[in-house]
Formats: sequence, structure tokens, C-alpha cells
Amino acid sequence: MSISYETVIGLEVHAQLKTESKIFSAASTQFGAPPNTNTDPVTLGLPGVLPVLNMGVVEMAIKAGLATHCEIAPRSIFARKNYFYPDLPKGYQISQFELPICQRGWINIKVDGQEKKIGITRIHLEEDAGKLLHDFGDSDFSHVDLNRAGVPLIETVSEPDMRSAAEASAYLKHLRDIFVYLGICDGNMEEGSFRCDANVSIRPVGQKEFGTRAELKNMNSFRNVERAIEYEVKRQEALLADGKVVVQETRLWNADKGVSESMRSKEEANDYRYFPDPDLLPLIVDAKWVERLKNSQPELAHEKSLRFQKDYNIPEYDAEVLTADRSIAEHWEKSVQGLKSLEAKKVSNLYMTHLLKLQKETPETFERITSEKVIEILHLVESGKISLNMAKEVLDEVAGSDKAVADIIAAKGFVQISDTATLEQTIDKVLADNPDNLAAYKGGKEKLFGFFVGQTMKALGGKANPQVVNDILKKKLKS
Amino acid sequence: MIQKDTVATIAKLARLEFTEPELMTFADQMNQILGFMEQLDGLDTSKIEATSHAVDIPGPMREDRVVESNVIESLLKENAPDHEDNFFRVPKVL
Repeated sequence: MSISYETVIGLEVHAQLKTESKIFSAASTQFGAPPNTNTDPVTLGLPGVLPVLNMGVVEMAIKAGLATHCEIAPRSIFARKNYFYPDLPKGYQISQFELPICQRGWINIKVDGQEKKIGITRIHLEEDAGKLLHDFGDSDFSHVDLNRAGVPLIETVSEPDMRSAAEASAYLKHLRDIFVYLGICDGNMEEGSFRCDANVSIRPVGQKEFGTRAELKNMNSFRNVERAIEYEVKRQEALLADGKVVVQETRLWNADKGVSESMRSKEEANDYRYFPDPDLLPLIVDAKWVERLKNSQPELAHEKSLRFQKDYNIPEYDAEVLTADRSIAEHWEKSVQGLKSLEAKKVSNLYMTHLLKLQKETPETFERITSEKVIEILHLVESGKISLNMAKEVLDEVAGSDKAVADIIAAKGFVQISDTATLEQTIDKVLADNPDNLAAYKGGKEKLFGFFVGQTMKALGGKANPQVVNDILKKKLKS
Repeated sequence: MIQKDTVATIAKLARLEFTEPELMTFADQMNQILGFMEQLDGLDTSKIEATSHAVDIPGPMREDRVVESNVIESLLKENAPDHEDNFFRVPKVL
């Protein structure tokens, strides 16, 4: 007899906030600084220092809470989480335990076209720990870099609402998109500025109580989160099938081997002896502050996508591709607004087929292609001076050099021929040179229309304005 | 009641080492402290929130601005038990 199981997943996500200074001190948070240079007496946990909360951190946490429909606590407190490890200079991490800044929120995810609401239990503030290097210098020692110690984090804890690896991945992506759009986190999983732990358990379908869960760590990409969860579900099913039990433990995902390994339950693990930090008075957030932040929240990807579909009449697919990256969405909208007659759909095509590729392949030079440049070039398309295909080549050149648009066009010899007299002359010649095809067309083979267009374009080196060629040809073939 | 084992566990978490008689002494003392606290059981505290801080004023905050500190240079050389280049050096923990 085989029992079918249901998977239950809850995620804990740590997001590094993009502040200039640390959560409780004025040391810099800049990534990649020489070891231990982003430190000060507070970061180093020297005796006699006092932490002072960074207002920017609080604002970012409130923004995250508002965007995820959380209640913002008017009063929250900081707690000490006590443990000894060399990456933690004070012997405790300042976090929030009983009264976090945000609670009871939710976000909607979409998997296979189905919307689903995922609850968010809480978002709390805490400081990051330092970094240990095990392969530096003398290999008999570990080396401590405290640059990351005290960097602000928000930890977002979800309800155990997800039922598959795909749902977990969708939730994680959506949460990251929100934080990146808000400008509070750069969302980089590989560099660790957006990290995820997953609590995974299984239970027989229909059972109410949760099964024993394992906590998965060390998954540094969306793909690895999915793989690790899928692996864990299979592992637990196999255990139960063998009549064994799942033990509650932390497991580290090993991406190279494609397996997770037990992290040998640390003795007295989870005995962190939390207590309110006497050094930090309660964090009071007044309603006016929340209101002000609410009013300054940027439009998020989903809302933007709906608005693009409505305001610019572009398909859902286009709107979602364009809004996936806030900078691209804003770039596109600015370009469209600067144009006179070119349809938004054509501009959307240009971005999706060409500019997104440029941004991905050559991000360092993509910056040269401003919306202003796109508008300047597309105005030439609107006035019939160049074609959309020529515009693409001009954009490539803009990215590759500092040349002016006019110079690029002159150098490439891009001139679209829209002059009716020249075009008529060429078309007459094409028709005269192909009497057989002309007769066939007139006899009903209307597909040959494309042939005549092609011949005309070829005769003019591809520079003819296709719209004008079409119009003249239609007229001539009718007569 | 605090037992000797509880004291031993707390000591271990705090990386402290005690002799058997010391553990007994601390267990006794902790029980005395808890005894004092038990006086509160005589009061109805069901409608009173746990006190996290003795003074009820909002915590101060600072602007998000960087201020340079060069404390690390002298600290590594003069205070750290051991260092290598710009790192603190500690016994292998992996």
C-alpha cells in the first residue's frame, strides 16, 4: 500500500538592506572593502559602546512591510540572541524576537496560471554577522573579517503555505522582485545579499498536523532552492516508506553533489536565551511616518504590468517582460512617452527582441542607450527617414561608441528612400523586368506581391521605405 | 527549582567551567533569587504586559550616514590576541 504525501514548505528569507551605514553604527556597508576596514568600536563590540539605530534601516523595513500587506507595529523591541562564534564579536546578535516591526502580511504568487496567497508571519530587523575565511594564509587558523558584521538585514518569515518546490521558488522570486523594486535590496543570491532557508516537511494527504520538518540551508540560487526542496521531499518519503522517522535537524545543501547533508545537530542548538536588549529602547513608529512612506511607495511590478497593458495596449506577456526589471520598465515607458505616432507594441518589440539582449550581453555599455537616444532614433523611424531594422543597428553603434546618432547614420549610409518618384521608377523597372511573374500575379497568384516588394528593396539596397513601396505597388498592380 | 544540571547547562552555554561544589552553590543562590521573584505570584499580573525596559521613551535614531573610524589599525596590533594581515586570527573553527 502506498500512501500519498503532501509537502509543506515555509521559507525564511534574509535580505541585506541597501543602506550606506550599518544598522547600529556609522561604519560603511560597502561591499568588497579590504578586510575589517568597515568597522568601528560598535561593530567590533568594544566595551562601553552603545548601539544607535539607523533610521534608514527602519524606513526600508516599513517599505518592505507595506509592500507585503503587513501591519506595521507602532512599538517593537530588539532582543539579544546569544551564542558564541568567532564571526560574532559581542557574543550575541541583535535581532527582534517577541515584537517584530512587521507582522501578518501576505503576497500573491502565480504558478501555472493559478494565483495563490502566501501568508507572511513576520518581517523583523537584525544585524548580520561577520565572515570567516578558512582557506586564507596559515591553514591552521581561521581568519575573521568583520566588515559584514552589523550590516542591516530584514528576515521575512512565511507561513507554511507552500505545497511544492515550484510554489516556494515563485514566492521567493516574487519577494525578491518586490524588494528590488523598492530599492531596499539588490537581490543577489550568489553574493548572499538575498538568502533563503527552507523548512520542509511532508504529511499524509488529508492529515491536519504537520510532519517533522528539516531546515535546509546553503542554497544560493533559485534553482538550488527548488532542487534542494525536491531532494528533501524524496528523502523524507523514502524514510517513511522504510518505516523510519524524520528527525528535526538542519541540513546543508551541497549543489555539486546534488544532495543535502545533516549539519550534526549542534549541542543545545536553538538555546539562544533571547532577552530584550537593554542597550536599545523600544522602536516607536508613528502613524504619520508610515503614512508618508505609504504615499512614496513606488509602483510595483505587478501593478505596473497591469497599467502598461491598459494605458499602452500591449499584451500581458510584453508587459510582464518589460516590468520584470524596474529600470527597463521605466526606460521603456519614458521612450514611449517621447514618441508621436509609433505604436507602443512596436517599441515593446524593439525592447524585447533587441535592447534586453544588449542589456544582458553588454551591461557596461548599455548605459549609453538612454531613453533620450531611443527617442531621437525612433523619431527618425516615425518620420520615415530610417527603418526599424536600421534603428536597431544604430542602437548597437550608440552602445558601442560615443558617436552622435546623425554621424552613425551618415557613416552607415542609412537613408531610407521615401521619395515617390524614385520608387515609382524602380518599381516600373521591376515590373517590366519580370513580365512572367506580372502575368501570373494578374492571373491570381497574389502571393507574388512579396516577390515584387523584395525585388524593389533589392534594387535599392534595402533602403526603400517598405510602407511607401507597398502603397505604390498595390496601386500599380491594380491598374 | 533550579537543579545542578541546569546550572551546568547555562555554564556550558556561557563557556564557563565550575567545580561540583560551585555548581551546588550557584543552584542554591539562583533558587533564592527565584524565591524573591515568586513574591510576584501573589499579585494578579494577567493584565500587565511584560516590561522590556525600565524607562518608557522611544529609542533615539540616527541618519543613515557613514563616519570613518580608524580604530581597526591600532586594535589589530595592540588589542587583538592574534592577527594576520588585516584579519583577526582565531583557532580553526571548521
